[in-house]
Amino acid sequence: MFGYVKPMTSELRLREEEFYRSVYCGLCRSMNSLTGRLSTLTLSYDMVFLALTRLAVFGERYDISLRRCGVNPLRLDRRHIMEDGDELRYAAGVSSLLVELKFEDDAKDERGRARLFAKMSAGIAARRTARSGVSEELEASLCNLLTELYEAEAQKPESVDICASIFGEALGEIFAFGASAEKDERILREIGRGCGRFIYIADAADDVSEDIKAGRWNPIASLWRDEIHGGVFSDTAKAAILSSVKLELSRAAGAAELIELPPGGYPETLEIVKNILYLGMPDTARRILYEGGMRKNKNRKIGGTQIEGSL
Amino acid sequence: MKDPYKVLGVSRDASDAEIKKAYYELAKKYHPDNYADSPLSDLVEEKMKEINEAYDNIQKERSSGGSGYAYAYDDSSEGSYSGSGSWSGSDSGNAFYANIRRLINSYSYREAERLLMTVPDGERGAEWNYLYGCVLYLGYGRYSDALRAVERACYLDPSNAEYSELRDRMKSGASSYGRGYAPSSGTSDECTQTCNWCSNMILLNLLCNCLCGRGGRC
Repeated sequence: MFGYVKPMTSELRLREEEFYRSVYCGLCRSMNSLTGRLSTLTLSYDMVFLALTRLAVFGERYDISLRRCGVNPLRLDRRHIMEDGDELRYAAGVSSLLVELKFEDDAKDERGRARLFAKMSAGIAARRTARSGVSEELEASLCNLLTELYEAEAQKPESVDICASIFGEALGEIFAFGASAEKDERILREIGRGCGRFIYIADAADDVSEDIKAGRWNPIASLWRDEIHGGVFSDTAKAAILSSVKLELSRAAGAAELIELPPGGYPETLEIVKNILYLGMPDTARRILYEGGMRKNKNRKIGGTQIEGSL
Repeated sequence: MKDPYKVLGVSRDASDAEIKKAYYELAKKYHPDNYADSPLSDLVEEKMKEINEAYDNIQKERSSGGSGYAYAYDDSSEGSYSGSGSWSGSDSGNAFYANIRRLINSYSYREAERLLMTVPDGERGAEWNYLYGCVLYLGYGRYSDALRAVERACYLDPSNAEYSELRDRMKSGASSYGRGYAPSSGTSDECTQTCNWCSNMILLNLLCNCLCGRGGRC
């Protein structure tokens, strides 16, 4: 469920890549101070995207300074790290909340040792989340939406959209939370929705082979059961999934085109957000469908080609 | 009133051809068609208006008192894209479905769905599938399921233009998504200057090393 939303670094300008890294490290540092060292293990690209998008919309500017990595003492070199700020703290809090909710979900599904582990982790995460200052209102609405999602999944519908939409709404809430201007709120919500649906679909597609083996329900597996053999999608299924993914991304990208970077904001934030939406995420989809998933370590080919399935 | 040159993203001394090009590119990007079914369509209309105004202002500024200019993308087209109008569709001659269309036009998706569900399975024809697709698409954002319903409607009634138009729009809905993203759209002037500086420094370094490579410090 994590790691699908990242930039295509080969297409970033060098200064944008440095900027991205500074936000990534800055978020890690915020998590370290806000929710503890253990929480930095759950640092995800998706949360960096959340912070970047909100920074682009709100135009907040935090200093970037050269520091050593405070979390890993073995890293001796100094790197550009973004100083702590409201949006980094928000992303840290949300990350902690999502981790807590994930463990609570695991605690329900798993049995035995795994269940015990999940319960303990949920407890730890919950305490950290409480410390992080995430609004209770947001926590409550997310809990409701995720409960709705689990109930929908329990029905085992033959539709990816039903569950993807709910997850999209949840991310819409997260992205839009705290926006005071109506325009900002709507743009952020639409980006959140598109990304949420994308993540849900991508995750389902990525998990198809394992879920089939383990006998777990998977929305894509049930919808496309005639078109999946041995965990490999047929061309029809690939094309259909790609086109629905493209539709979701176009909605999010359309919303991102409406972002007007406020004066004083970092232009890199908007550029990286667009790279992620136009290049990074479709590349993720392509890899999942055409290269057997993100989990397998495929050798990346250098040199441009007309790749089948390129969006 | 924003600076029109900034809105179009051109410099003050850009040529007329450059201004036109910038205008067309922006108009293509923010064209209402690309946002036809988006909840942000009113924001896009505003943006389009801004772009049109900027283009007009620059034209007026550049040639004082010329004859009128034809709008490339007419503002009056916004009428067809503002929510309600586009879905009322053709007269089906059936009061039940006409009522459902009214509900859809007034955003009452749940009610429309509820009524659609009262129709028994055997009687769900082309129009039923089309309207159900509309509800899924507009009300719940369930694009894949909506597309299946609309395609079923097209299959049951191939000659119906309304159904095939929606299907085509949904399929190409992301028409501007695939093209038009140019990652390195920034200027490269700065870089060239830096490169000149860099090459000078490299030469200087080379010179220093040649003359007194042992010390390494001056």
